[in-house]
Amino acid sequence: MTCKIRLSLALLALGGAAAALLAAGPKDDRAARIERGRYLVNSHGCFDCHSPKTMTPEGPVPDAALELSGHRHDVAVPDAPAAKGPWIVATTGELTAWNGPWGTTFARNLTPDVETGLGSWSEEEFVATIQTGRTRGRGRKLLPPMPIPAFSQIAVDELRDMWAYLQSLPPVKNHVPEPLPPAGTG
Amino acid sequence: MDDTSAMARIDLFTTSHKGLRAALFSVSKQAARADFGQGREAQAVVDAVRRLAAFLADHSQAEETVVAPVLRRLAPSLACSLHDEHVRLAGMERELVRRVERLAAAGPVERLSHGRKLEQQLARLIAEQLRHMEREEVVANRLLWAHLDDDALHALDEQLHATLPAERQVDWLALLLPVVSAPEQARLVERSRACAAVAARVACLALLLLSLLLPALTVACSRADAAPARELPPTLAATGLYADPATKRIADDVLPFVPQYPLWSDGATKRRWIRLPAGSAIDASDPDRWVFPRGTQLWKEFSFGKRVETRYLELGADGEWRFASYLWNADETDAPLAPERGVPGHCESRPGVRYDIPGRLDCAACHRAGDDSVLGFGALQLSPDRDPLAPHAEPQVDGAVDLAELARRGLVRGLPAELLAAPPRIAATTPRERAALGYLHANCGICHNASGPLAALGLELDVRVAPGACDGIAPAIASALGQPSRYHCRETSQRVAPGDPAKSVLTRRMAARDAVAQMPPLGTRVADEAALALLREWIANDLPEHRPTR
Repeated sequence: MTCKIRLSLALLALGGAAAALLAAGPKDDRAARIERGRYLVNSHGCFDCHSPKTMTPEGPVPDAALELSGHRHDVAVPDAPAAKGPWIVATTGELTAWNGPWGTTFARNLTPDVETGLGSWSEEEFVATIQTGRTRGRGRKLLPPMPIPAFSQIAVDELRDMWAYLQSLPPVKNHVPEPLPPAGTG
Repeated sequence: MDDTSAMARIDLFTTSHKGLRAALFSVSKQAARADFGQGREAQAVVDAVRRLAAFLADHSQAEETVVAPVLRRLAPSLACSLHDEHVRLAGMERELVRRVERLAAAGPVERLSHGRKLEQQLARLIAEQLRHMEREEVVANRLLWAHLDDDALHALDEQLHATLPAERQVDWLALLLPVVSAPEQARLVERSRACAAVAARVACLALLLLSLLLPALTVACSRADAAPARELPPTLAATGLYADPATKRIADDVLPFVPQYPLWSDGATKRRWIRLPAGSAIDASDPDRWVFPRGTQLWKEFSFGKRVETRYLELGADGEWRFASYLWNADETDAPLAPERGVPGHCESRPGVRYDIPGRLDCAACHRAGDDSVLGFGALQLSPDRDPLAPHAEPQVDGAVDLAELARRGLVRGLPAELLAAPPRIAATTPRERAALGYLHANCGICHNASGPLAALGLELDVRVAPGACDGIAPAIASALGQPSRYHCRETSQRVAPGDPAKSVLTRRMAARDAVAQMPPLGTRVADEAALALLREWIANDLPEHRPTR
């Protein structure tokens, strides 16, 4: 009996050590991925369009509390001014709504809110979206000014890191309006 | 033969069946208890299902290799029916694995939906497996015991064991030891001494020890060994489509087919072919979800006056579909593999309109948007009762196979007899409605169905043909007519406004080709005016306001 107990304890100890070793890896890896993702999201200019802003004497500054939550649903946007000559694109002071020949675009909510953000998306869908330029890799095309021609060149590993960072953000409930088709259509 | 004498005979089935039953119940219980919204719990179920599928595949392969030839000699009809059951079960197991692959890649909300479907699939599989195993343990054993002595049975038992590679033998030992009787445990341990590799023998003994100390250990730890995926062939000729690439003579075992409701691709002319591995057949026992044998290949050639591309699907040995396109050169003498991301705006489909060669993710967008990866080759599309009003209907070509011909050649098995006696035909109030529903099935139901990633929208534009599925109002009508659309067009937000095509989001988006409103969102840059005319007529005349909805 003593022998059995000793053996059981030894097995438990071995198992515990293995579990500790296994647990340490993924956790550290995830933290590193989030950090790389933070760097990539910041350096690729995602905040420029996807964060609501407050106007300061130095120009629009991202609102830290609403980071990456997209065009604010409570900011009504009137019809864009008519295009004139070479001036065919218009945007708002927050840079979250854009109008051009393609219609009107509202920057999406990139926080992990399940109802209004990317909380219901999978990593695979996020990667496919950037690679194909279509929502979830299978829906409608992403619209200007989303720089898909450039972003679709980002390496898959880096996209996964960006996804890890976006999913680590505090979820913000903000139901961004759907895009509008060009005037006279739809 | 009484029970006492039966107990004394060597039983080729029951010991391993005990392990499989325990694994089936264990995984079912794990899935039932899982909160699929939690990634870790969902992943644990995914892993458990993959392990289960590996055990089931090992087992049926061993029986097919060792026992089936003996049964065929003793009782051909029994052997044949058990073989059919293995084929059907293998199809269900592949579906199960496909489900968990999707589950593994899904976000939390989709996982909940996949989880529910997984539980249902598991329940159906368990029911089928229990019936099948019972038939083997009772009927097949009775036959074997009547005709074979113990030496012959022992030899077969050894052969069954030998079909497993050493690393799988260890997994099997871990599966079986905790769930079999003491005499069976003793036999398993005795046989483990014959493990070829020393490492395996050590592992066998360690697992035995663990199984005695830890009764909860019921499932082995190692993952299934997936068959390696083969590289996509570098050229179209290398896929084996042609008997002679120079003359483009199609290979003799490649069969042309023509679906009755073609997909709109900006007016491309198309030719289509399929090849099934020799001696294999499609499991059509669920007529709406055909299960294709591994090694199946399909081709679709697109032309605008001259060949532009040939799209290609193949079901690999690993059970995964692969997609590719081959791009024809200017003089149509060679078609190398297109770039993985496709070629946007490759050529003109008509003056001033570019045509896109799809990337592989584009292929997956449609071919992984429902239960079936093969589109346009199913019971409804191949029905001999073809719809004369189908937009862009193509004439049959020489040698084309339809449902009746596939059945005659034994290339589909298990198809419900009703569908051969009365070929599938869309139930509709008018011929125009039949054609409209067929068009929606082929062009929209690929994504808008009840089983794919867009199921949560509740828009079901695909048509089911299983006996009983056509009863009542068509799902396309029930889920669209008078129903609110999430997409808001100007002046309307109904998917289909009763009697009013101008206020129906469905036709408005089909007519749109701006990036915001366009439907379908890919594969076309030109609206299908013939189909729009049909659908507008249908909505205006056949879908009045008083028509009941579900």
